[in-house]
This record gives sequence, structure tokens and C-alpha cells, in this order.
Amino acid sequence: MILTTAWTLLALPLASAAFISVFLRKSPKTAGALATLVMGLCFALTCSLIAPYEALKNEGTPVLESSVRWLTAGLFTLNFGVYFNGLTLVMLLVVTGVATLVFLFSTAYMAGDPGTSRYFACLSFFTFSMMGIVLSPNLIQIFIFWELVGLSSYLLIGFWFEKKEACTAAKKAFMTTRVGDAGMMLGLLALSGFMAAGGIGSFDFTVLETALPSLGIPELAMTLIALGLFLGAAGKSAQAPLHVWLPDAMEGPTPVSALIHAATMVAAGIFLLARIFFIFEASPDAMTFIAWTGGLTAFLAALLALVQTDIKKILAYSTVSQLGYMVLALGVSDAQAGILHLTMHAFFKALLFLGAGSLIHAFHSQDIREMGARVLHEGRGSRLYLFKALPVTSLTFLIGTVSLIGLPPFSGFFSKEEVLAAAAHGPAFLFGLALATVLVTAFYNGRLFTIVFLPGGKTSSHASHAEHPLHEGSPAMTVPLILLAVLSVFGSALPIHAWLSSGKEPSHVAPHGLDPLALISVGAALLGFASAALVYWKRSGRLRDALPWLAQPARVLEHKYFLDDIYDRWVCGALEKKARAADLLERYVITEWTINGLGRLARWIGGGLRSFQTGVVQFYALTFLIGALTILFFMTSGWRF
Amino acid sequence: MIPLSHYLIVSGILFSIGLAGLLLRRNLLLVLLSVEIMLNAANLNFIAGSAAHSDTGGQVIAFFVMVVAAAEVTIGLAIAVLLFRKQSSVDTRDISFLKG
Amino acid sequence: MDRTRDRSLYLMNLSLMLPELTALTVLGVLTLGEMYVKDFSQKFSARAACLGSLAVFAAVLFSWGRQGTAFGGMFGVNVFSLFFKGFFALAVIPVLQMSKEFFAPRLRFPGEFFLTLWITLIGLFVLSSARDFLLLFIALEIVTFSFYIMAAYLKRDLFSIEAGLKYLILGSLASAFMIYGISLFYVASGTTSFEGIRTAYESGQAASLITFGLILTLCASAFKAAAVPFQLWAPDVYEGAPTPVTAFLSTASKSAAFLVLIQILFGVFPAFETGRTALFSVLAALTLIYGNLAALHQTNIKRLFAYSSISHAGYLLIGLAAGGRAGLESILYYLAAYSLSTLTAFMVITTAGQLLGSDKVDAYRGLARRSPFLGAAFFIALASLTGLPPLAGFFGKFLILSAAVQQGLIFPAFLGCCAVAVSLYYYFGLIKKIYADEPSAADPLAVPAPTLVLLGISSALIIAAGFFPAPLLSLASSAAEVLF
Repeated sequence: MILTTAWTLLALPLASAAFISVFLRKSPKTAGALATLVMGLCFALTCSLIAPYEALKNEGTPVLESSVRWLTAGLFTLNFGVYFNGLTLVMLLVVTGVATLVFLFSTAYMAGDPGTSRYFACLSFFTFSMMGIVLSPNLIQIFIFWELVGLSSYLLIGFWFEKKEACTAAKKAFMTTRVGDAGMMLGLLALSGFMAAGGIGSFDFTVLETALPSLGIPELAMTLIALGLFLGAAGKSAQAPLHVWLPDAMEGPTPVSALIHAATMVAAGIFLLARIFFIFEASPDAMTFIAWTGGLTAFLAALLALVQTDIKKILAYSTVSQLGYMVLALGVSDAQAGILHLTMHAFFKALLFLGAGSLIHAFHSQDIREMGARVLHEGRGSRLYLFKALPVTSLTFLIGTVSLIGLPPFSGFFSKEEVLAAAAHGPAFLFGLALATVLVTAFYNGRLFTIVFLPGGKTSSHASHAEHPLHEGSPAMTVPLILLAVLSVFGSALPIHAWLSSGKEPSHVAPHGLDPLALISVGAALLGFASAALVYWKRSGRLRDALPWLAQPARVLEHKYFLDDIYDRWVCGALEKKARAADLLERYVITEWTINGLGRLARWIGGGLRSFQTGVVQFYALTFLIGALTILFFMTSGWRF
Repeated sequence: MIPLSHYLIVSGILFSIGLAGLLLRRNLLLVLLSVEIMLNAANLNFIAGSAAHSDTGGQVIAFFVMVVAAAEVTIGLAIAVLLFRKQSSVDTRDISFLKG
Repeated sequence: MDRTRDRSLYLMNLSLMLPELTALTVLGVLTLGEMYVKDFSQKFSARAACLGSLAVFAAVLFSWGRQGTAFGGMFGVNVFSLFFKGFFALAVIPVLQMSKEFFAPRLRFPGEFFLTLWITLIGLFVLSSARDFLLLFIALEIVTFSFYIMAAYLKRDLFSIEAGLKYLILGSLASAFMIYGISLFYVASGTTSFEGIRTAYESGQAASLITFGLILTLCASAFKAAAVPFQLWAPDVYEGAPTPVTAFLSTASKSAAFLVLIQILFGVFPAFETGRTALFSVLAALTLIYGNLAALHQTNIKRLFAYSSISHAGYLLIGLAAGGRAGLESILYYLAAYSLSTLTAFMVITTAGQLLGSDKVDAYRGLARRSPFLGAAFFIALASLTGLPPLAGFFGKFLILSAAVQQGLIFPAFLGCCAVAVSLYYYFGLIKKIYADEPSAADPLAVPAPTLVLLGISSALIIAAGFFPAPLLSLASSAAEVLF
């Protein structure tokens, strides 16, 4: 029953996407309603799996798999199927839950956009791909759906394809993740080489997990395999230096950012790390590398968030930073902490993005300076005006921010605590980075909150000109915000650890109470938030204006560590030269000389052959005779019997 | 008895004469005539074979071939008449409008 | 050879000739109708002929499974001959429709044409059953003479006359070669029956005479099949003859030629194997090259199809070179697929020729826009001729090329593939013209209803034979088996 539901969960979004793209092209409202209902149904189905799963776990069989044979090539068999365990359940809940809310939000947010049907079709297709990743029983199937998710992301980032920036961003996303995928493929290939040598023909996780030790893979090779696979995860989860696509991906509609670039797709990398954790565990060097990548990404991305003025970009860098936390947790061998943080992050980040969507909808702008200044310009300079005009948005945004910073008793606090506790077991510098990141995270969130919601007496040259009053969106927009806020507060009550533990490892004990670590992190968070509020209350949003002594570092941050420029010049530039050379080769040598040349030759010979048709019948007869004589000659002289 | 090979040689010569006529003569009627000669060369073979194998079949076949030849020439002459009506000539070199 | 037999045996064996007798009856009906029934020629003759061919086809089906010989072993019936008879009977039907469309406005008595056509059919039937060179020759001549007449049928059109004349002169040359070769067989073995000559050849007596005769007969048959170096007549005759005649010529006549070649090479001279493979590989290669390359420049659609049919003969020759069960089976399948596609194409050409008034390729611009049916049918036919899956033509080519590869004829098979690539140019050039170019006039074309029906049926058959080749293949297989 669980497995049938799993198959249904895989099929439903695909069916919805197909149906919308074929039949509902001209009915955007129906498309939206259908997509949302299907997604809600998926969520309900997922919830219905909780009880049976718990029952099964108590019986001791926490893993289920059902697959059909797809191809066989020599030693290797490739199956297509579904795989269900605790991790799957958690991820499914996150994906379907957040997706349903995002779909609901989109029905209001995207109303009036001419491409709405296409939007819902792509979004449904994305959900299908994401569920495919989550439900895959083997590495190859994951890879296939991995690519599909990349495709869906491309389609959705470039949704407003009339905008050049959107197209560029979509391509950038696709290509950057492609670099990661190439690494993943190399890792897979290397692994399959060892598998073939060891006689293992299936990429199924269950099979691989038991067989891996017996394959006797040398340490260096194992590290490289692990790193290759990690590269794929790093690409999708926007770890440095492959994070450059995520901020640009904000060109897509905001609900897309909420679903894909906050809660689900970017989590796919973390999920992969957890899913094939046994591969990474086999190489301690790789784990160290992973941990450092995570830690550094967390810190550096948080710094970058300090100088952004676009609300979505701030949230994007925030996502990169939090993903860094998750990677860090996995790198120090605490997979459960990583997944827990993934779940909590999904809730509050989606909330923040949807809230940002609501703000963008209300202010018709994405610049935080305009949002704050508008409030002033209205003439109602009261600090709490925004809370009165947009109560739901403001309150939920506050909840999300607090959860992100990590203040108890919000869910973000618990998950971050676990990550920090895990980091404490690792290198000291890394732990220090993690703590520092807490501070910086609080700082930039405080900055964001202060500038938008607590504008204090400053004026800005960015006053916007539209004069209609601010108002909340429809219930379709507010209900998801409320629900996500509830989850951000109470989410830690979900028995995630219970679900995740498969009975093999000791169940994770959540840190509680007045743990010194908890005190330090909460203190750091409050410090960061408060200092930001102080700094930005009356001053402009630019870091270098607010704190002029940080002007030089601020400039580096604003240029995103010049990474984009480096990529552009060294990677794209070099490739472009080669591409031009290849184009010349193809155009002249291959097409013009060889292919067209052959064609011209054929026509020329044909023309020559036509000259045999002189029209004079006796010439034809002569040819007949000569032909017959030639045949006669060759047949009789050569073939005697 | 005349050896069989002599008949074969004569029929071969006849065939070649007919062939040459077909290739070289410009008048359509003479071309048809040449075809007749070639067919009769074959007939000669049949008769010779009939004699050599003491089998009347060959002579029967020869009759059939004569009939076929006659039919062929009839059609040929009919077409020649059509051509003459159109072109006022039966020169084979003049009927070369279809070419290429 | 002693041909006297008990008279009663002749009567019993007449039952083997059921299709031929039916055909003769129909001929009688048509002739009498022509003479005595008022307006028969204009109004009823086509329909009567059509019904007649269906009746003949029924007779073939009725005779299915019968085996035996008649007339002292000259006339034989088996699956192979019945396959061809059924094939010819069906092939006549589209030709009848085309002829009606073409000749009804041009002639006062189109029924006479049908009579000639019918005699051709009878000749083809007898040809399929010939087990003796005399009968083969006579049947072949019946067919050929009828074609001379049909080619020159438009008495006042110089091109038609020229076509008939060229065909006659060159055809007579070929016939002379053939009968001379047969006479050599006779001189060498004292018989003209297939059995007798086969025995004589295999026992080695008078080998040089028989070989010489074999070469001559092969040359004559290759002429009919339009293979290099005997193909020069084809473009001129195909272009000049009336379009329905061209259609019949390129399908039935070519099939008859290959029928003769198969009978000679596999029925009488299976021992000639190495020579056959070598000779026909070379001829196939030359024919493929010539047919495809010369087609690239053509501006007249009938001439284009002439070169196309020359190139298809090339493929069939590969099948002949390959030999064996697989080779024969593939030839039979290919003939059926090729004829089906060509007849469809020619139905379109005839109708378009009538409605557009021109046979130039240029006139076919935008045809699909003016008549989607004609466009679609033409597309299917051309795609099948190119060898595009999943149509019948593809499967035929595939069978032939795989039979060739199996027998080790790699180079001809390779040439076959290259030839497909070249042929794409002119076939798809046509397709592009009918779909993508602007027509000279925009008004829709009114296609006569029977043509539409036939086009529909034949297009469906092409597609069906491509998706489900099994029925036709098993038919070809059982026909081929007879010779082994």
C-alpha cells in the first residue's frame, strides 16, 4: 500500500503537467486550480503514509522498494521504481507540503500573467521530477530525475523569457549545475568501473550499501568518487564556487524561488548526500572537504547578503548560506542534523520568500529601500504602519526572520543548534566560522527587517510614485503564509528524528535547555540583530554609507568577490574562442566543402550521365550491343566450368 | 550431313548482319527488316537443332517465331505509318525529341 | 522431346488455368460489349474491366494451393506463379482508373485501350506460369507488343509515337537476342523446357553454347528490367508514353522482367551461381549509380520516375546477386512494395497531369495546398520509394540489403545505402515542392472520387505493409520456397 501510494505520488504531478499542457493552455484559472488540487492530494497521500510507515518501523522493516527492470547491459541492470524509507517520508512531506502552499500562493500571485498555464504545467513537472529524485531506488534513476529537475528549473527561471536577464539567468543556472553534474557523472562512472570489477551490476542503494566495503576500492579512488558525486550536489545546492547561479535565478517568479530555490531543488543536493551517505562515509578526506566547503560557503554567502538591496537576492544568499550549514552538518557526519535543518529551513525560507512575494505584490518593487521609504512617503511615518497595513505579511515575515536567526523556541533554533553541536565535533576553525555565520546571519536579517519594516526617520531618493494604498493579497496569498509561519514556530515538534532513524544508529538526542552552546548562539543572534537595527535605523541601506570604515570590503562584497567576472573571463572567454573555431570548422570544412561538395559532385556526375541519353535510337542500340559484348567477354573468359 | 557447327556459324553471320543493319540503316523500314533477319537467324538455329536432335519441336518453334516476327513487324509498320503522317519522314535520326 | 499426350489429360489440366480462362472470358465480354453495346466504350468499359480484374483475382485466390503442370509440362501452377498472378491482377485496377481518367477525354473509344491492357494482363498471366522457353517467349512477346501499342496510343502526339517507336526498335533487338539465346539452348539440349535445359546444363554438355545462350537471354531480360547498360530506352519511353501506360510499364513490365530473370537464374540455371553473383553485383552497382545520379537533374516528372525506376531495378538486382531464399523473398517483397508505391505516385501524377495540364516538375508546386489528398498520397508514396520507415518501401530495402550482407555482398549493400541518400534529394525535393512552394493558382483541385478511394486504399496499404510486414513477407516467403 505504501508502495502503490509512492507510485501514485510519482505519477500524479506528471499527469497534471501533461493534462495542463495539452488541454488547459487557454484556461489559466482552471490550470492553477487543478495543479493546486493535485498537489494538495499528493500532500494528503503523503500524510496518509505516516501511520503505516511508523507501524512498519516498529515491526523492523523500515525500507520498502518496488521496481521494474528497465534495461540490461552486460553486467549492469537498470531498474525503474520507488524506494521508501524514513528519509523519503520526510522529504516527501517537505516537498508536497511546501509545494501545495506555493501552488496556492501562485494562483493569486500569477493571476493575470499571460503564461500562467505554462507556469503551472512547468511547476507540476518540476514537482514530478523532484519526487522522482526523492523516490529513486538507484543512482542512475536519481541522475535522470536530477537532470529533469535541472530542466524544470531552467524553464521556470526563464519563465518570463521576453526578459533578456531571465534567459541569461536560466542558462547560467543550467550551465553551472551542469558543471556539477559532470562531476557527478564522472563519479558515477568511476564507481561503476569498480562495481563491474567486483561483479555488482545494480546501482540500487540497498545493494550498493552492503556491497561497497567488499569492492575494495582504494582510498584515493574512493575520495575522488565521493568528491565527484559531491560536485553534483554542490552544483544543485549552490555551494561555493558553484553558487553563482542562485542569486541570478531570482529572475524567475517569486513563488518559483520559494519552492525551487529555497525549499526543494537546492535541497536535492543535501538529500543526495544523505541518501548515499555511506559512500561519503567511506572516504574521510572527502568528508573533510565537504565540511569545509559547507562552512566556508555559509560564512562567505552570509557576508554577501549584507550588501544586497534586492529582497530576493538577500534571501537567495541567505539560502546559500543555510545550505552551507546543511552541507557542514553532513560533512561532520551528522546526517540527521543536516536533514532536520533542511526541513526547518524549507519552512521558514519558503515563508520568507512568499512573504517577499507578498511585499513585492504590495509595493510593485523588489528594492528594499523603496519598500521602507514608501511607508514614509505615505505620510504615515509611524514605525508600525506597515504592521497595520499588511498585518499578516509583516507578522509572518517577522516569525520567519526570527526562526532563521535561530531564536528559541522557534524551529530554526533547534535545527541550527544541532548543526552547531555537530560542528563542535569538527575542526575548531570550522566551528568558529559556523558561529560567526550566526552573527552575520542575524546582522543581515536585522538589516533587512529594519529597512523594510522599521524605517525610522530617514528619507531616500528611491521613493516610488504609485499612490494607491497598501493592502494584503487575497486569502490564497495569506493562508500559505500563516501555515508556513505555524510550521516555522512549531515545526520542531515533528518527529523527524524518529522517522529518520532506521533503528541502526542510536536515535539522536536533541540538545536541550541551558546548553552553553545554545546560550552562545542565541546571544550571537540577538547581538547581530540588535546591532543591525541600530545601524540601519536611520541610515541608508548601503553598507559603505552606514559603516564607512567598511567601504573597501563592502566593494569586494558588492562585486560578489569578483567571482562572476573571473568566470566570465577565464571560463566563458576561453570557451568562446574554441566555440568560434569549431563553428568555422563546421561551417566551411564540414558543411561547405565536404557535404555540399559531395552534393555538387553528385549533380555533376549526374549531368554527365545524362549525356548518354542522346535521343538517337540507334545509339541506344549500340550501347545495348556493347554492353552485351562486354558481359559476354567477361563471363566467358573468367567463369568457365 | 552438314555439321551442326556450320549452321551455327551461318546463323551467327545472319544475326550479325541483321544487327549491323539495325544499327546502321537510317530508314525505319530497313531497321524492321534487319530485325526480321535476326529473328530468322534464330529460326535457322531451331531448324538445325531439330535436325540434330531429330525432334520436330524445333520446327514447331520456328513457326511460332515466324508468327511473332510477323506480328512485330505489323506493329512496327503501323507505328511507322503514324510517324510518317506526322513527320513525312521515316528517318530514325529524326525521331530524337525525347532526350536527356 | 515427345509432346504427344493422352488428350483427356489436357482437359483435366485446364482447371489449372482458371485465372487465365477467367481472363479470357472477361476479354470476350469486353470485346462483345465494345462491339454491340451502345456507349459501352465511354461509359461501362472501365467498370467492366475493373470487375473483370476482381473476378480474375478471385479466380487466383480460388486456385491458391493448387499445384501441377499442363500442356506437357509447359504450363505450371504453383505458389510462385499464383503470387505473381494475384499481383498483376491487383496492379491492373489502379491502371484502369488512371486510363479511364486519361483516355476518356482524349479518345472516342477508350474501351479499345482497355482491351489492349487486358491482353497484356493475359500475357502476364501466362508468363507467370511458363515452364518452357517457348511459352515464356510467346507470353513475353504478347506483353511486349501490347506495350508497344499502348505506348504509341496517342496517335497524334509525336512524343507518344516516338516512345512507341523507340520501344519497338530496341525491344525487337532484345527479343531477337532472347530468341537467339533460346535457339542456342535448343541446339545444345534438344529441348526448350526448363527441366530439360537445366539437366543439360548441369550435365555439362555443350556448355559453351548454353552459356552463350544464357548471356543473351539475360541481356534481353535485363533490357526489360531497365538495368545498366540496357536502360537507355526507359527515360524516353516513360516520358513519351501516355501516363497510365508509363505506370503499368514501370510496375508490371518491370515485375515481369524480374519474374523472367528469377525463372532463368533460379529455375533453370541455379548452377550458374558464381557467375550470377559476380555479374549482377556489377550490374546492380552500375544501375544504382546511374539511376540515382542522372535523376538529380530531371525537370519532367515522368522522366524522373523513369530514372527512379532504373534505380529501383538496381536494388532488385542486388537481391538477384544475393540469391538464396532470403534474396528471393526480398525481391518479391520489394517488387510488391515498389509497385504499390509507384502506382500510388502515378495515380497522383495522372490526376495532376490532367488537372494541371503539365508534366513538368515545376507544375507540382504547392500541390498539397490545392489538394491535400493528392499531397498526402504523393508524400506517402514518395517516402515509401525513398525507403523511409515505417513504410513498405523501407522494409523492402531493408530485406534486400540484409540478404546482400548475409551473402557477403558488402560493397553493393553499401552502395545501396548511399543510393538511398542520393534518392532523398529528388524524392524529398518533390515533397518539398508540393508542400512548401507557392502554387501558380490557388483554386482547389477536384479529384475524381474513384481515384480518391484508390489513393486512400493504396496509401493505407503502404503504411500497413510498413507496420505489419509479416503477411506480405510470409506470402513472398512461400512463393520463394517453390524454387528451392
